[in-house]
Amino acid sequence: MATVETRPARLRRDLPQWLRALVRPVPLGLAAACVFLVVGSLLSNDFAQQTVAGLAQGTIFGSLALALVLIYRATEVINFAQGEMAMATTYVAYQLISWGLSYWEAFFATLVVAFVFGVVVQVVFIRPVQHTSVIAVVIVTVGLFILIDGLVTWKWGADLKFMPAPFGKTVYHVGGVAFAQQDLGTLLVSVLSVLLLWALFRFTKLGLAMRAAALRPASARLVGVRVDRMLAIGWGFAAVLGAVAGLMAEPAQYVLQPSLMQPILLYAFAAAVLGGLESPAGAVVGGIALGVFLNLVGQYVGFVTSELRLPFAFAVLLVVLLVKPAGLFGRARVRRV
Amino acid sequence: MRINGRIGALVAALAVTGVAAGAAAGAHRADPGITKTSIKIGGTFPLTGVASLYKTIPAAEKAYYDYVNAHGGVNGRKIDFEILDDAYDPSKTVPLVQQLVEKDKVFAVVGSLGTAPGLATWGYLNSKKVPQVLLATGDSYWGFCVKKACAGSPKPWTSGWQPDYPGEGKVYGRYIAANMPNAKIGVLYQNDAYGKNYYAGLRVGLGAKKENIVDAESYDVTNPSLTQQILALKSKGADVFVVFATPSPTITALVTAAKVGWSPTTFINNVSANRLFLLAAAANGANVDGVISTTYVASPTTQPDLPGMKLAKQIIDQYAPSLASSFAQGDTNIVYGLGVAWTFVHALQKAGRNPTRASLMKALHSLNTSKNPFVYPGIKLQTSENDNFPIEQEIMIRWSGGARGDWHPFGKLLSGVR
Repeated sequence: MATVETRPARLRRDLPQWLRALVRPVPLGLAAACVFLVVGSLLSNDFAQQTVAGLAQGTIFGSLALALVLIYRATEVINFAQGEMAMATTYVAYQLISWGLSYWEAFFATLVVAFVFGVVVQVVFIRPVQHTSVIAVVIVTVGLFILIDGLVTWKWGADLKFMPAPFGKTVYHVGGVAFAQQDLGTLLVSVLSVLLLWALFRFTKLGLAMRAAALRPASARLVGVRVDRMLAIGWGFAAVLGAVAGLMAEPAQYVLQPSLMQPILLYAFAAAVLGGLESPAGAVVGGIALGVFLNLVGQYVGFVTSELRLPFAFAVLLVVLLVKPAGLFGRARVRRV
Repeated sequence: MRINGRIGALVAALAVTGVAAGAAAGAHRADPGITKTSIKIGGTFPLTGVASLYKTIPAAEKAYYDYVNAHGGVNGRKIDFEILDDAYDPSKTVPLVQQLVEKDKVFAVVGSLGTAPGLATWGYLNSKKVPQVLLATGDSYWGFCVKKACAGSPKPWTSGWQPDYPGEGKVYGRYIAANMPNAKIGVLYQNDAYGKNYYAGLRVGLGAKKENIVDAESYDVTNPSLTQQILALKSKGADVFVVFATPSPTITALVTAAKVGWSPTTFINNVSANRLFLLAAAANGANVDGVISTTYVASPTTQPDLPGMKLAKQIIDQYAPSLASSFAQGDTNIVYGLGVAWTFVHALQKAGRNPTRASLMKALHSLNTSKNPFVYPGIKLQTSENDNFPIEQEIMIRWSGGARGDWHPFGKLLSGVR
């Protein structure tokens, strides 16, 4: 069979192996974006300031987007309740702190609670409908959204609650740019939790089993992987990531209320789609890109006022998807007909 | 016999008509919801949902009515106040208000909270001639529409209580123009009628100095944080920061400004100037010293020796002990609720021995008293047929004392706030 070799493809073939992987539009584009951000930050304090704030915000989008992707890979649906699950676990942390735990004790205890919560949700609500139809699962997640929101309001009320600041209130000034300890902390915790999860999936037997159960359930079952159990554990880890997103989103708003995650979920959807719904790395990159992009657009593109920021972001998203329908990191699905 | 029968029928018919006429006359004399010993009123409030931090307002109103009832009621009538939860959602307010009028047969709807819920029900209540009074919102509709046609017709059965938002915006504008003529002003406002009305008032108050506004940023509920807007204001060189927002974004804005290393002179609107919110902001690192706002109610923490605040403490301790701790910390929403309830009782007393809905409205349209013990000392409640804004005075306040500080009034009482 004769293949038509395009010019860029021919160029790529002549490069050494390690460079070949990089010379593709997406990694090249991202590298260019990074250079742009670094140069811009060096030239302008305002630019640097908006970029740092955007990074901190973007990692929160990214964490929640990653949770969405994990569940999408396992269950093939978008979990509409992901944001509310994260919000509920943040209330758990609030409760633990008000019972006398320190912030970080409560933080880790909450992650454990979130894991159990995610597993229980999968076993009780999702498993019974998982094999009926996608629509059924989607409806269940929408129902969970409303249920969790209602339960939290019933238990804790909808008035403003306040949690102690996890990272201190210090502000570092570096050459006219203020770096809040809190933004840096958010960045660190979010990135660390994503890396830990990646290592778990990549290097452990459990991770391998979970990937197998999500991607090739039938084959996995044949080699002895307990698929149902693995899917439930996958939901547990997604809930843990969501909990991290919630716990990091609370100090960014300084108040805890049941609507905590609703705006963030919207951006997390966008980030997940931008990155490619099946790509964990894509979700994180998508979230960070969205956070930084929104801040810079608000600062420098005059006509994009508060009303237009979200529509503008989605217009850009649409353009990206027109060019790369599977998202930045997604693989186009090829189906034999 | 036949004649007798006819006369009998005639007598019977006359009797029936007489009874009917009597009943009609009775109905005319006594409106629904009012008897010799009781008067039933109700209101809708956000006990749950986004605005539920205002739920102390109806609780304080109930406490005041309970206090009045324990002291014999108004002309022997006990006030029965029904509180319904609309979660600040107009689509819920409408059926609840219909329930109050048609099922629970209230005499008046008193103190209901929120602009959108108020607007969603004022057409219905005015067409039914049911008083919708002392609405807990600072929009100017309630004051302007007694005679003027608003949304198709005048709304003579509606009244507000507090100073209106554009008027308050003007206060800040005039202050900045007079005291900080070279200020570079940055504004953050909520992207809806509430925020825009405040902003419009600010521009009017600034007069020619409105050119000093270097940037105005808005936000809405789809913004997960305010950092971008605040960085933009800072980068434009603003040294005065005016925030027209609801409480939780106001807290976020104050803390975020500190976080990005920006320390302008900050103005926040009265709605968000509850002491509890400033304490929360300070606890999260906000620089609250020097923040300026306005008030029209007395403060339980800075003016505890006022007779009104002593009475307030006594009422709260006895009839609403669950509010006692937030009252002690300076929750001015509680004082607000007491002030509204006092005004209703005052109007009811003015409305005659046997009040009707019409006489209640007449009383509310001819207020002239400086006896309300819960408003800031010196403030007069005054209305006329042509002026339906009961409170048009405010005092400016400034925060000092940091994370354990409080508001302190300064300057003289400002009049004509509308």
